Amino acid sequence: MSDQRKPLLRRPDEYAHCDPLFEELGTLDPSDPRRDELRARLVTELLPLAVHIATRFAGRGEPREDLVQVARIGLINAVDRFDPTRGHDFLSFAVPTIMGEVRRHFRDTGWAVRVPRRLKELHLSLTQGTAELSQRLGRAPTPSELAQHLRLDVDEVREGLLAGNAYQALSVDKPVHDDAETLSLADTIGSEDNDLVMVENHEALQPLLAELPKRERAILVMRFFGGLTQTQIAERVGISQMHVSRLLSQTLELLRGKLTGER
Amino acid sequence: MSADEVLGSQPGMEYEGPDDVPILNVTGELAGEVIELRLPAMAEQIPLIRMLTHGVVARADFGLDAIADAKMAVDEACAQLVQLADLGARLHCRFQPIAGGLCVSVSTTTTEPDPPSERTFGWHVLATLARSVSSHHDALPGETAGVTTIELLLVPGTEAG
Repeated sequence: MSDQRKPLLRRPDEYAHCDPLFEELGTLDPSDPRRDELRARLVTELLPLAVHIATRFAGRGEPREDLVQVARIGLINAVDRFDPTRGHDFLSFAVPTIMGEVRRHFRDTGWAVRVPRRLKELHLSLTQGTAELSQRLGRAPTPSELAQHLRLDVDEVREGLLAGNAYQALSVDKPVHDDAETLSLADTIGSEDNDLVMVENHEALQPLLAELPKRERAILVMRFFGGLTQTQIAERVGISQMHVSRLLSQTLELLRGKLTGER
Repeated sequence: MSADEVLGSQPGMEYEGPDDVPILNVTGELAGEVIELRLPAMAEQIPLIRMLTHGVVARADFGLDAIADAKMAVDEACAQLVQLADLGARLHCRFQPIAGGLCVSVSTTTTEPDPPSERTFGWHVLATLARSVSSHHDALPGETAGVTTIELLLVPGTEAG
């Protein structure tokens, strides 16, 4: 019975043999070549955990293989960040970490609400049309330009754009993970410093910026301290303009909440 | 005079806003196209204003970047005012098309006489997203509270470049 209740931790001793490995890992000098070896071994031993968690999220519209990949990234992060001296066991630390990573994947690439196929297709053509027209015009197109380009009714385009806020990006929007971002961030970091010191609450802001996921932070910095438009950011990061706009407003909302101490 | 009167809820009394004009030299001719929304000054209401903003700027055929910027700017302005608003106050949003853009003014009743600081990150966000932004506080005669307003000038972002 109790087995049914907590399927994730059905056999808590299943990974117990990893505990001494973690302890050993903690004692090694950061430069010790044995670290990599031990880390790789731990990740390999713990892989079934990632699969297990990914399976829990299967059947929600994202390919299972993708979920497993994402869960594995979460697992690696958990292994890297786990500190056995804090007195927690690895599983109670890793399970929420990995689940968080998978949820984030859904947030980034999945649809937040069930949307009819017609709307998904509309969103897809709007995204592609926007990319094509931006290229041609050198700026973001307007709804009527999009309508003309896609031979759609302009009202339909306007509504489609509004609906674009209700759901998350499609797979065409999938971010080029991490690679693109470091570069763009490096490009703009200088102006960030100058502008940021002008801001009176910058001491409070800086740690919050540092906490943001790399991509969100890069996008925010490019828009508000680097003077780039969303279309230009979209091009650099390799995601759609609509996705940039969603991430930006989510990030602003998050910062607003934290700066005003709401949560 | 009550706050509601100043905010123009009385029939026949069109709220002109003390500073409609200064940003661009707009005359009253376009006033017929003014769109207004009045709702409780609460954070939960902001998504509604966001939707209206989308509708207004998409209809004005702003570029996609400018549409998204407008929504973020109005979000931010409303959030700042909700923070300052007196308990039970209402938020008054006013969209006025002007030559070459849209003037958005958001106001609410506040006891705090100082308009939002222009040195916060939030203000930096507003200044980045809008062509121009300003705020002011107008005391209500005979009352401790006054009306704080943030005004944004939004442009369609379709000029060459």
